[in-house]
Amino acid sequence: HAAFDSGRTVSRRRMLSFLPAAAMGGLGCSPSGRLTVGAASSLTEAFLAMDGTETDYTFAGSQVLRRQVEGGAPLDAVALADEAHTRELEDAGLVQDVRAFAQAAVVLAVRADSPITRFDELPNANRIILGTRSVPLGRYTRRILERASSDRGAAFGDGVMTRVVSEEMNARLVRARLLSGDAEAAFLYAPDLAQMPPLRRVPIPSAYAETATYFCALVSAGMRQAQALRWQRSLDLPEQRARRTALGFHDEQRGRAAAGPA
Amino acid sequence: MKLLRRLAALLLVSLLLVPLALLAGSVGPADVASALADERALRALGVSLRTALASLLLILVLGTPLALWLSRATGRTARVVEACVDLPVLLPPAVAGVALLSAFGARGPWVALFGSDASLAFTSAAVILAQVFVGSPFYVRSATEAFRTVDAESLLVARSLGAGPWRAFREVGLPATAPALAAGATLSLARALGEFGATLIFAGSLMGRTQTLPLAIYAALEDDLGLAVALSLLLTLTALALLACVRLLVRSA
Repeated sequence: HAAFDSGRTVSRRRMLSFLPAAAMGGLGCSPSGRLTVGAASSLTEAFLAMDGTETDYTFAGSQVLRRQVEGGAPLDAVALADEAHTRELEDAGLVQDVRAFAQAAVVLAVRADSPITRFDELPNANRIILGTRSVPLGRYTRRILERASSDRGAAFGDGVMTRVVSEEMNARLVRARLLSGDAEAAFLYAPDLAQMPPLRRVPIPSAYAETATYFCALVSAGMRQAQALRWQRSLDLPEQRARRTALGFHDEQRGRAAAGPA
Repeated sequence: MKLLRRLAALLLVSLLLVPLALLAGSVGPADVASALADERALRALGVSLRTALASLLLILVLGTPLALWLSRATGRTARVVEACVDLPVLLPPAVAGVALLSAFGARGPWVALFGSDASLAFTSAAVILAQVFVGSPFYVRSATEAFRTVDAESLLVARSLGAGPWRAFREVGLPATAPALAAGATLSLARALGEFGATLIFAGSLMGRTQTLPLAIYAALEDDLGLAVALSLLLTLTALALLACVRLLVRSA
């Protein structure tokens, strides 16, 4: 039995080594040159607006970026939207210098023409989009729904789930389904809802509220560590903080002690 | 020169076969069994079987009359239609998904006509439409070619002996073309079963409703690579089993 188990592990590792690499698409693996950062899709505007023109960004769901790092993708740094995926990478020794750098509230968004105005009307929504169980937005959303269900009764959560029509792989795909009009309601990060006229925010009772915390980390196998460190420090510059605040992020409320010795 | 030619052939054949061999080798029967025990796999298999068979039925029912007409008509309209039928083969499935979403999604004419409750996006119907869209050209093309080879005279003889047009087709045309029809149907079914991009865009991905086996593989890549590999093997086996069924059915008919 043990032999079978180890065989399976080896085969999995072999798959790991090429599957995410295939998923990387256009990312080249040139050993020198531009810094390459993998970032949660909800950070797109926050990072593309940064001055560092010497940086290539690849935006995806944090769970996808985690797989890419595990598969040896040529990333120098990552910025993920939750602690769980970041910690998994850190515990595996794949990233270091982990630091929380921003937060964003998880909000309920509906189409502007939707009759829904209160959180408890959510089961009336025609079509609801969630993130998958792996993507941080999907995890935060499920925590909100769990709290609401234990407070209002399981019928609330069940009512919501029967209205779910699709699970999307990152926060931007969730929003896209809402913007196209193909769904009526979805949970989004607050910055993704800002300045989106077709959408309207429905308040979530504070007892159920969730806040996403963004973590940045340096990839231990990265080829451009000094550049990556400089990029990580630049996230703290006042103008970057101001830019994020303008987009609807806020600064991290709590410090986080990096686990393990450096 | 001869050596180069052989090397080129060997390279291409290995590219085609080695990854499949590795896939088959990296998963044992036990992995497939444990994948089958996973709720996600079973429900994806159910969705895949239901939708692919429904798509095949639609393709046969709608495609056969079309192919008959295309094989008999001589006008310019028929040639234009014939070219259009082939279009989905050339289009990337992602384009098909976006096109279907524009037609049947919230902003399309379908919803404008029938109201937002009639939107097909994210439904089983969306999965089937995507599969018919990408799968039908294979059947229609080979059926059209096959019907062209049927001797018009033998059909006329059958009709002069008192058979109606449908009976003449069934008893004279169909037996002669059955192998080609089966080949076309097999290709269409395989394409429907493997449909991924258009389905993901147009039908979304929800376990038990629109998540077919290819979409389940994609979803499993996120958190359970072993499951993704086992599902891939399961999809391969399902395709082989369905194709064998189609062949058997035609042979017995």
